[in-house]
Amino acid sequence: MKKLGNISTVGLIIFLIVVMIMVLAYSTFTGAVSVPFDQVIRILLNKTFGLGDISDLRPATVAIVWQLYAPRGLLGLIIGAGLALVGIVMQAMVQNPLADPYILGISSGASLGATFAILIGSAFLTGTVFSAYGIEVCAFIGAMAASIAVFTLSAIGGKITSTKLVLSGVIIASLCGAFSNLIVYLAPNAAQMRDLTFWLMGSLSTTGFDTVVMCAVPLVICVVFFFTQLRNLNAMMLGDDTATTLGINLSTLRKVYILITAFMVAVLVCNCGIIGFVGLIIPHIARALVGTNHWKLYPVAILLGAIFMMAADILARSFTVSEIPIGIITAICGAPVFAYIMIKKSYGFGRG
Amino acid sequence: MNIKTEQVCISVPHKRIVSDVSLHVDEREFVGLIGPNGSGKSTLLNTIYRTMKRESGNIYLDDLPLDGLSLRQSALKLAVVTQHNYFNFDFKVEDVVMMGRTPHKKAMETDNAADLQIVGQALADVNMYEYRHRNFSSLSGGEQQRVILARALAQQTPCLVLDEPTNHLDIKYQLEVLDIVKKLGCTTLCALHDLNLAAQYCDRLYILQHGRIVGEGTPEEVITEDMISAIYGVKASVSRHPKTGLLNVAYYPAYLNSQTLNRTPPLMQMPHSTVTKT
Repeated sequence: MKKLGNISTVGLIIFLIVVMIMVLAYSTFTGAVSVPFDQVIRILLNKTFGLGDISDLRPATVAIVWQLYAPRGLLGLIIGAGLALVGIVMQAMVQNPLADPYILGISSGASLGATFAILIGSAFLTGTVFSAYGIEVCAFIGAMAASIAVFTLSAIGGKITSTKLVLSGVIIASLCGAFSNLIVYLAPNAAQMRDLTFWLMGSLSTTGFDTVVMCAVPLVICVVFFFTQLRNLNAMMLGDDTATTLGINLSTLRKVYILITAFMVAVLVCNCGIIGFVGLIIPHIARALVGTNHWKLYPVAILLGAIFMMAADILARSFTVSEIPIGIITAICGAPVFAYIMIKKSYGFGRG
Repeated sequence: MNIKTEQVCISVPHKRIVSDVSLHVDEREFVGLIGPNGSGKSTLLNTIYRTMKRESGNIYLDDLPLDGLSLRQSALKLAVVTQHNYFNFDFKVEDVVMMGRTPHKKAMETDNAADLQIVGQALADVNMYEYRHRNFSSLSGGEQQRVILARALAQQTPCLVLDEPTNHLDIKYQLEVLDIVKKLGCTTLCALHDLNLAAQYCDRLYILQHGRIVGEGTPEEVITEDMISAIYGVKASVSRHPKTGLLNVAYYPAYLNSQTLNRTPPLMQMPHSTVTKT
C-alpha cells in the first residue's frame, strides 16, 4: 500500500513534467502572429544550440519567436512555480490554509515599493551597488515591510489566529493598494500610468530572456533551499507547540522563511506584477491530489503552479487581439476554488 | 534519565501562575501532577517542554540545564502528549506519527525502512495500526489521542510529559492510554485531574494549588479525605479497594446529608444488581 502510494506520486510527478513540457511548447508556438511549426523549431534550435541556418527567415519572425514567444512560456513556468512555492511555505509557516502572498498583502507591499521606485524614482539608490536594481530593491523592502506589518498586527494580543491574519492582510493590502493607486493617479503622463495599471494587474509580457534569467535564478535558489526544509514544513503544520516539542526552532525559522519568501515575492512582482490566487489555490489542488505531506506536496504543487500559469497565460492571450491582464484570469479561476476551500470541512480555520 | 525543576516561577503579564515549584522525576518513575483547574499544572508542563518561558528558577533534563540544550536535543530526550490536538490541515495518521521522527533526522534525510518500522510499531502499540492510512480528522477523539501518543512513542525518548492525556476520552481509552504509558516504563510526568487514575497509575504525586506545591508523596500519603476537602472543597471517602488493593476515591454529592450517608447499606448487601451481564 505504502509502495503503491510512492509509485503513484512518482508517476504523477512524471506525468506533470510531461504536461508541463507540452504546455510550454504550445505556449511557445502560439501568439498573435502565427509562425509555422517548422520555422519555430528551426529558430529555437539555432538560437539555443547554434544549429542550422535561419538567414532565409524574416528577421521579424525570428524576433517574435525568440524575443516574445519563447521567453514568455518560460516566464510563465517560473512565475507559476514561484507563486506555488511561496504559497506552500506561507501556508505551512502560519498553519493556515488561507495564507498566500496576495491575500496577506505581501504582493501589494512589493508592488507599492516597485511603483514608488518607478514613478518617484530610485534616485536615492544612484551611486550605490543597488542602482541597477532600484525597482527590485524597493519591491523587496515593500514586501518585507508588508510581511512584518501583517505578522506583527496579527500577533497583537496573543496568538496569531486565522481571522486576525486574514484581516491584517486585508488592512495592509488595502493600505498599500491605496498608496500605489495614489502614485499612479499622480503619475505625470498617461502612457506611463496605463503601463503601470496593466502591470499592477499582472502580465507576463516580456522583452526577452533577461527577465527570464532575473526570475529563474532566485527561483532555483528558493526551490533548492526549501527542498532542504520539507521536514520542518511538515512539523510546522502541526502547530507551534507541537513543532517546538519536535525540536523545531520556530522563531528562527519563521524569520528566515519570511525573509526568503519576501525576496521571492519581490522578484515575482517586479517582473510580472501582482498575480493573485495562484499561491493560494495551487497548494490546495496539490493537497487534494497527494495529501498534506510536503515530501509529495512540494514537487507536485510547483509543477502544477508552472502548468497553471502557462495555461492561464495562453488563455489571456487567446480571447482577444490585445491580451487580458493575467491577474484577471487567475482571479476568475481562483475565487471559486477559494469558496470551495471555505466549504470543505477537512480544512480548519483556526478554533472559532 | 530524570527531570528536575528548582524554584521555578512563571508569570504572564500582571499575574504569577507558578511560584517556587521544585520537583523531581527520577529514572523510570511515573509521577503525577494533580490539582484543581487553574492551579498551574499545564503552565508548569509547558515550561518544561519549552513552549513557555519561565520567570526564574532552573529546569534540568538528565541533570543538564534545559537552557543549554537545543530544542532538537531536548526533543530527543522528552516527548509530549497534550490534550488539544487540532490541525488546520488534514494529515494521514501515518504522517502524523512519522513527525515523531523529526528530531532524529537531518534536513535532507528521507524516511527509511527503520523509521517506517518504528512508526508501524508505535501505531501497533496503541492499537491503531489498521488506521494508518486514514485521515487524522476522520478519527474520534479517543483515536486521535492514541495517534498523538503513538507519535510520542515514535520519538523514542526516555522521558514523557503528558498533559491530561485522558481528557474527553471514554473510560476504556483513559485506562488504555495510561496502561500503554505505564508499560513503557519511561520517566513520566503526567498532569491528571482524575484522582482515581492518579492513585492507580502514579508512583508519586505532587499537588499543585494556586501555583504552589502543597503536597508530595505516594498516592497513599497524598490522597486523603482531608486533602480532597482542603484542595478541591469536596467531601469524599478514600478507601483501599477490596479487589485491586489500590486507593479508591468516592465523592459525596452535596445533596446527601450526613444522615443519609450513614444509613446507606454497603453495595455488597444489596439484593440484586440491576445491570444485566451480557
